[in-house]
Amino acid sequence: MSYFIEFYQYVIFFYATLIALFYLTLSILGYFNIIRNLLQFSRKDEQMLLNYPKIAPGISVVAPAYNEEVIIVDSVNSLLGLNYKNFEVIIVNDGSKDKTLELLIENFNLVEVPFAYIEKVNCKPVKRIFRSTNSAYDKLTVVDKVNGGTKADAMNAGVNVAQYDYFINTDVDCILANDTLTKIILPVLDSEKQVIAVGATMRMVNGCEIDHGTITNIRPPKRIIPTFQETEYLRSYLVAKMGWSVINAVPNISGGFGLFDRSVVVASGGFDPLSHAEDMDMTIRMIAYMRDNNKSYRILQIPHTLCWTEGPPNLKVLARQRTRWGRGLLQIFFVHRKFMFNRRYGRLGWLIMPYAFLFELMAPLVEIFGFLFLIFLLFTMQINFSTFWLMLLYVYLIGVGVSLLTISFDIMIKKLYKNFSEYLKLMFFSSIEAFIYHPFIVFFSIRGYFQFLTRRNFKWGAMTRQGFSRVETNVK
Amino acid sequence: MAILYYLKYYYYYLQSQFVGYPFIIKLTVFLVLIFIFIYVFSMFRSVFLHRKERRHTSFYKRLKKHFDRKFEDIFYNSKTYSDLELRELVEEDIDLVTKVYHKKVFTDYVVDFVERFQHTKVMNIENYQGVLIVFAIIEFWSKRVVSNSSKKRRIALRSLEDLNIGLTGSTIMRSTYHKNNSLRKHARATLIKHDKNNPYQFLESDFDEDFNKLDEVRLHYFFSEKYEEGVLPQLIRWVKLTQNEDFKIYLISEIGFFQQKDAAPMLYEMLLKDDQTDPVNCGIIESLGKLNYFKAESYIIENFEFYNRKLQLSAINSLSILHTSTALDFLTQVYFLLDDYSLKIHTAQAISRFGKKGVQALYQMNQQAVLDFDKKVFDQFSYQIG
Repeated sequence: MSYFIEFYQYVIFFYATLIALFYLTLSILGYFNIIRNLLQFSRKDEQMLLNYPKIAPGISVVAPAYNEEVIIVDSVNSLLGLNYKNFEVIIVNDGSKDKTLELLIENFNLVEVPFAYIEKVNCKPVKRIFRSTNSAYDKLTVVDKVNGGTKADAMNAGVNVAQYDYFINTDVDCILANDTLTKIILPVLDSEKQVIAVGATMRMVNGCEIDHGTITNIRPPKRIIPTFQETEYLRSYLVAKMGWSVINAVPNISGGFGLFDRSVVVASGGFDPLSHAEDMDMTIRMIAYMRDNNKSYRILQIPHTLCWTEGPPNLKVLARQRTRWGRGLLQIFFVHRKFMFNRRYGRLGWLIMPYAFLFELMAPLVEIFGFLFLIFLLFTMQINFSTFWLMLLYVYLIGVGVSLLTISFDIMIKKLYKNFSEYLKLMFFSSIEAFIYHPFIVFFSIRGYFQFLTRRNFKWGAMTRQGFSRVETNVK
Repeated sequence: MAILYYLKYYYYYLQSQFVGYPFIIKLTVFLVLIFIFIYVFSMFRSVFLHRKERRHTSFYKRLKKHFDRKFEDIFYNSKTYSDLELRELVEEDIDLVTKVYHKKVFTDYVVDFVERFQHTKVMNIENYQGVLIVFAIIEFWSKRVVSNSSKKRRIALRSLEDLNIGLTGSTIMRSTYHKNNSLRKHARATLIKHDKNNPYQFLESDFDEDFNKLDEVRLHYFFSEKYEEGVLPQLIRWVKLTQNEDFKIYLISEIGFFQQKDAAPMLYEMLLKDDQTDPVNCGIIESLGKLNYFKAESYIIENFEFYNRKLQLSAINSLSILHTSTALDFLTQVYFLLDDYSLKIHTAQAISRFGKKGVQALYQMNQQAVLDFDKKVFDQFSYQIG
């Protein structure tokens, strides 16, 4: 027994140290990547794309909507106001039961139009296509379809209707920065290899002041849960993905916001409607398609904050979200197990999948088992408290250290919050995240794994909308 | 030296505290120290970056308050001031812009200021240049554009471009062989505007070995400026020279865009020879359409059925631009022979561009249509034309 206890302690130590080494390496790579990105393009490059639309690639902005009557009008107005010449906005009404479609028709002068629809990727039937009679909304197309149960199905309908070579995958609860399209397309143009996907930083819109779909004042969230998520998202984008991007090993372009090469998405079969992590699933299948066809590719991540999303405001909604992510993550390893350690798939096989398996999928299990083991050691009075506190400090500092590094990266890119006290707030929340927020994430992830393994019939789950058109107040 | 002494002291102190402990514990202590350092460093760095940004913002606001009125009077005055007069006008302000960050912020301010009035007022270029000389802005950036740091060079190149002054062929030339891709290519493109000796020298050598779409955007920008000045050379001369296919395709498309009709016979000759790749042929077909080279029409129509999908797409685009009744007849016939639905949509779209004749053709085709999809296509484009 004592050998097992010692062995297990060494396993935990080396597991934590490996995570620390990975994150340190990603931080260093991410830092230099951020510096390179900041220098690479100027305002003039963006201006050239705006002044010469004939050479600027067209981009379709595809956003599925299911029961989004609270925010749909502001969202569409925000998307139509993007500063770019060649783009279209495609809203996919995924069988909404509320007034989503009626509001769109009323506010944007929509009429049903004849449309030669080609189903390039599989999805539930499209019933009608709407365009506006008002030239101010000539970039808008609304697709009305039978509900497919998941965002992936709705995205596929949008991909089928999109006319441009690139499309943005986003949600209607996301507000995009005005210069999103110029910023996200420039790295695609400045690459010698085919860029199949680009991600950018997303943050919480929950505390921001918004006027009819436009952010007028950027602030961190007021509520506790979204504030924890703010730093969590920043860590994921500015450290992890920016680091992975240097070695072309970005594991996932977020479903909340990402630019994709439409031809590669279509060739890969589109988004999987059965997947609960359709973003990671799509990224993996795109990589597999390129590798199977011996094509060089790049998946990029840019550091700029281009998308603000409404984060779960309370534990109940967070639970739904993270449980789904847990189901989705485990599902990825079942569906795509053939890529694991498969040299044929390059970095996907020997780096991305093993890393995600060991340090994303297994992490909650290691943590929960470690916690139970600790309780056991406490009850059997086998704990050496001086080394216990040292190890606890070590694990705690990994998280807090990387979080603070992330916040400094964020300020380096662009100081979005006006007051430094708002960054101090993020720093404070980072320091208590390990005790308050993280245990819930572990629990919800494991719940997701359990749900997947016991094969319950899942629904995507409703996001409780607050709406954009008012300043967030401290509502209990 | 003193710091080293203290570091050694604390290192030995920690070592003494953990004498006899397993290696794992010592390793953990070391890693904890690393992370404490990261924690403290990040904290200080965040504060430093915040203060730097605040300093820049407050200086910018100060410049705006101080110079808005003054610069509006100077830059947009019909009277050209001499150097001495300008110096007298801004004498008390020169000390305001002395440090490095002052000059950077001042540059941003001037660029924004000029942008504000670019469509409403006519600038007195000599006064503008004079002010920049008095504040030593041109001198500052000119030194940096030839510095050893690629980062400084890139920012300096951009700043001088934004200021639209101070760049010469000789200052840019030093960056045209730099190992940094971004700097090198930006410098080569900028040379077209600023070099009086041989501005197109890099077009002779495929522009750059890493030629990409962003280079196309930048070159297009400079070509457009030359075109507006009426001095854009015939791009066909580099089409024949280049070995880089992407560069060749780009030049061919630019020939069509800038309506260099003299190049059309040569492009047609290349198409007839048929010794280049499909992407190049696609570019040639589309450009011949844009150049309204009607001689190519019959060749395109005759060979359409032998073309692959991409070439067929280019042919359809080209025929719709040529806009002849022969082209219209051909497109209406070929529509029903296509089995690629995307190509059908493209063809219908091309037909719709023929105006009233196109509308008529679509109506007649709708009467003939058997497939539901075809009916939807014709309904769609008939609706779009109205």
